Amino acid sequence: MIEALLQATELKDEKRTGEQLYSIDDPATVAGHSWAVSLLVMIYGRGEDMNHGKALRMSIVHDLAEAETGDIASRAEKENQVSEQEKQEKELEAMNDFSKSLHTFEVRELWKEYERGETYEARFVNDMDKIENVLQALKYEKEDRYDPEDNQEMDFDAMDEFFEVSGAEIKTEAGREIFDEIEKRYEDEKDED
Amino acid sequence: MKKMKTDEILRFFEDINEIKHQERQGWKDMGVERPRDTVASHSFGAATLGMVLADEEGLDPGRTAQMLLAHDLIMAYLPDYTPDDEEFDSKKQIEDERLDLLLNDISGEQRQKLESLIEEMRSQETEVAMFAKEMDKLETILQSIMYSGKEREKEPAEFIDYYEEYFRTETGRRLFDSLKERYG
Repeated sequence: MIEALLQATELKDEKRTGEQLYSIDDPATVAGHSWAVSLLVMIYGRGEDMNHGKALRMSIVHDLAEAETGDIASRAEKENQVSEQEKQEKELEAMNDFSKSLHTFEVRELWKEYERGETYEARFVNDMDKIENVLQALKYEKEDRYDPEDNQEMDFDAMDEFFEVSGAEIKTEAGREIFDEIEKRYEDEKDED
Repeated sequence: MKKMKTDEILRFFEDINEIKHQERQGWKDMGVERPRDTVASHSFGAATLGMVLADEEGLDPGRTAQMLLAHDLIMAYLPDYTPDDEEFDSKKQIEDERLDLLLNDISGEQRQKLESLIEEMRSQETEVAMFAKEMDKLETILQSIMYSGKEREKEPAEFIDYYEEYFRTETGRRLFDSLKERYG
């Protein structure tokens, strides 16, 4: 039990790969990201639309596998997408290990439901995951936290990739509304530079 | 229900985003190099522990997790005082003042929800609040164990000694005792 708990704290050391790829100064950690996603679910989630408690628990475990596997970025380029199946297998294995040591299969089941993305709760949590990404990107853009010179080999201008990848995955109406608003802010911010 | 405006959530997140990057002062004081553990990641760790362990204690995992997710939001609005700081004793009063600042960012049902979670945790009168406090301390002890193999000045034993009085529930006590036996 203690070992599993210690293992989970690895998430707090795990830097977000997407942000490192962009040479962000002082990137956020996976744990920091998970915290913010859970908070978004807590604030935006409404009991009338879904099982709020379940969505919240799902948001807490959604990246837990990365404590063992590390943060594997989903990039826009095609060549990296082949590892998707392998990534999933490794993550499932990690979740199995966690569930065993924690004596609860709820953790694994919630994670599986999230990965499948079939229920409203799973789609909503996934949207909040994307919203958190773009909020963070907006923040970095506002604070000039990266040097565009370092990112010249990227196919995208500024933080556009975060918006493009995340935007394509938004599935709920609630998520879309928030996303559009953030994107608008981001465009304004870029125009100012 | 009154919906929270996007403007409000953006302003709120801009403020609280700071704590995703705010390294915890306690680790820095301990001499941990690049602690990376931020106030936000600590909250996440504590919420995860709360969610996983609340069942065992017969408490509501969702409520426990929510309380822990919210409990350090105030840190986005004030410095991370440790018991070594003079200000530590007046921490509560300073927090009261800053809490208004935090809650002014948001409105409606969400404001009430956050306020009630933060207040319940601070007043430490309910079973969930007391259990959540234990998870807050348990998380810190676990992190000190994680760091203890690396650069450090303090041992986990110091945290174990310092936080012992907090552990009163059966589940919290059981885990605390097993850590004390190993690292105390």
